[in-house]
Amino acid sequence: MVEKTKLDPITFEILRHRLEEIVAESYYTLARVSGNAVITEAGDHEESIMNAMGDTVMVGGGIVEWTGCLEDAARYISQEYEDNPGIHEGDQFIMNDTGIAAVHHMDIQVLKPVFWEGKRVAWLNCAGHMMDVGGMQESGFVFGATERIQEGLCMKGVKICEKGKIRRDIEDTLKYMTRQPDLFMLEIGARIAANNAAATRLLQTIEEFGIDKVLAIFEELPEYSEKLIRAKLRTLPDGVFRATHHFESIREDEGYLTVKCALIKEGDSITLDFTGSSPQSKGSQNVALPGARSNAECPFLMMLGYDIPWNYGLWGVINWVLPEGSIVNPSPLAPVSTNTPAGAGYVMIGTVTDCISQMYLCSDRTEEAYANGGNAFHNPNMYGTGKRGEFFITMMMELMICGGGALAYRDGDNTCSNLWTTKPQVTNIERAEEHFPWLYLWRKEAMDTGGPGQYRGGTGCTNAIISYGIGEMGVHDMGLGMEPRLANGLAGGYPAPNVKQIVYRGANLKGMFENGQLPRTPDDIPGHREVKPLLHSFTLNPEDAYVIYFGGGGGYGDPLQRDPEAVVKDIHQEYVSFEEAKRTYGVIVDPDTQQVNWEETRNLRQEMIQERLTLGKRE
Amino acid sequence: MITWGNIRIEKAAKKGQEEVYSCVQCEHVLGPTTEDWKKYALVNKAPLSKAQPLHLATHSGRFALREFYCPNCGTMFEVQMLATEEPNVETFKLL
Repeated sequence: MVEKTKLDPITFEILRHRLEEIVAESYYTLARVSGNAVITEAGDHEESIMNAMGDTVMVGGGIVEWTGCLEDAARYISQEYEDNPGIHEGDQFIMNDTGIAAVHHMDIQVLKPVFWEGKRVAWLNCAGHMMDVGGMQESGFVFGATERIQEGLCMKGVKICEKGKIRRDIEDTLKYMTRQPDLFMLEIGARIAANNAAATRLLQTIEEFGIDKVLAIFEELPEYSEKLIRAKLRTLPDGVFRATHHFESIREDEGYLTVKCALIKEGDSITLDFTGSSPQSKGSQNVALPGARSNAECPFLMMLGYDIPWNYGLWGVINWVLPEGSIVNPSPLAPVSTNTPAGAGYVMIGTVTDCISQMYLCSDRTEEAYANGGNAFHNPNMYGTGKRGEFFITMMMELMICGGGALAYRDGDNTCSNLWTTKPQVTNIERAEEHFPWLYLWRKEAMDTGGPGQYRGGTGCTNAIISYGIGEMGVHDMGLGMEPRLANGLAGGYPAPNVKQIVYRGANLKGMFENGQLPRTPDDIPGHREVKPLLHSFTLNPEDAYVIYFGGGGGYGDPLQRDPEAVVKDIHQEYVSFEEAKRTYGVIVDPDTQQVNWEETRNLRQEMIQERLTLGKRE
Repeated sequence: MITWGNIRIEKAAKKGQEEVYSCVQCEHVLGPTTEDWKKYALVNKAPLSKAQPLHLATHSGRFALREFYCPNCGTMFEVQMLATEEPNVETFKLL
């Protein structure tokens, strides 16, 4: 019997870092080669290394909500296609089937098996968002879908590369099925390049250290992660922690939809139980099982696993209850394309965030608790005929910079983050105007968009655009939080305000520009004002202006316990208005001196407390 | 002793005594931890337009902000956005 290689601690650390660097190289290779602004500007991708069976050994940063799916894809191909069509050196495979391994069809993964001396020793996966995958609606977010088959291209691990070359038959087929054929294939090529770069480094590592040590790190790293997460869980209180989030249904006949989560923590394992969530929707906001697990793992990784290597040893401690026929585990035929970012998948992230924060608040690690951030936003996908007569489609990426939730000891970060990405970033305005046919009137932090609390939620942003150099432009808007307030507060903090999008028809700002004027606020924009609902398609004409308020983060603690001086500072920085300072924080600020009126503030806060005691009833 | 925001979970000091929830701010004893603390709090259903600028608020009766206060000092313990008539959600229950 061959003795198993056991790594010494130094070699273990060197190899762990090497794997991290390999995944990082894959990440940056894709970002350099891609021609898709969602990848290059917004970082909408993630890469990983798996063992020969497809179990994740190392995941890079990027879009965390895909993490579980990357491994599902490699496992599926390993199990299903070993004999036919076979898995050989030089092959690469495309996967985007939501029933197997994707959050939605637009997240296209390319997987490469890595061989050493003729034997498969690893898988590499490079996944990124594609702006169009055919189907009924530009963008792949299909508002009117009632069946999954209407949502476009679906690949279950198709062999795109054989013996190191792209297969022409597959290339021609794919190009025929998308609205941006050349960009689509450029993106596939970029993923292939990222995998090739990572494979080169992995093979160099095997040459340097030997295959036994590399296979040993593949085994020992997940064991290490499991050991760490179980040790951390043992320090946290046993209990049941619950969250309920409601959100708007795309279908008027359904009213609203619900995700309910109970996190049951016992000893060194946890169960995520989504019993009580809405039955499967007739619309596209369902999330299929792989995407459901992957989304729900996202706050687990970010809040409990942030200091532990990410691999199957880490998330293997989670037990799942995802009721069949529900919105978080629908039938294989159910449409799912908008579940992220405007449906059940995304809302699961919010509920699990709430539950983990409740658990932290009951422990001696309250500083780890985090009110919801980035749960309410708009994500307009813009399309039409571009400046050079080509079809274009892209998304407005400000959803990547929603306000962060407040913590138990400080305000949330402004325009910073969502829990589903480790690298939140947004297109530079100059570059956006160069790439896309619109001009910005403004992009700025939006006053009063952080959820009030003793510690305020981070502010969201607002932007305003007009189309430029083209005719009309189509908009498919996605989002959450226009009616319900989805970025929950914590321990007495309020949820962040609602989001909003407004089209000013016939604003015709050309005249203002000719007079050297630029609108600074919505009040400066003339025209007929149309407030647009979420999950809605409309046309933006050349003379229209489009204003959007993206979401802020939830607050922490009672707003009446916020230091009045902090409120004044917020006013100075235009994070909070005089009106909200008074109405919500009970702080009176002299508009002339910009100082707290302490006596009036004490009196007002006392009145507000009395009002609570009068209005509040026992149930 | 465990605190969850402005709620304290006080372990029984002696055998036979109950573990109770109390208010961190005024030390008012809310009740035993065998029940959800929300049962002992004051509850107010506020419109969704509360605590946000009016130009962003969407007016709807389907949801409300459920505010839970200390019945003694009025400290806000929790705010939840729920459907108007649905039961309270027990946020945490230690085992």
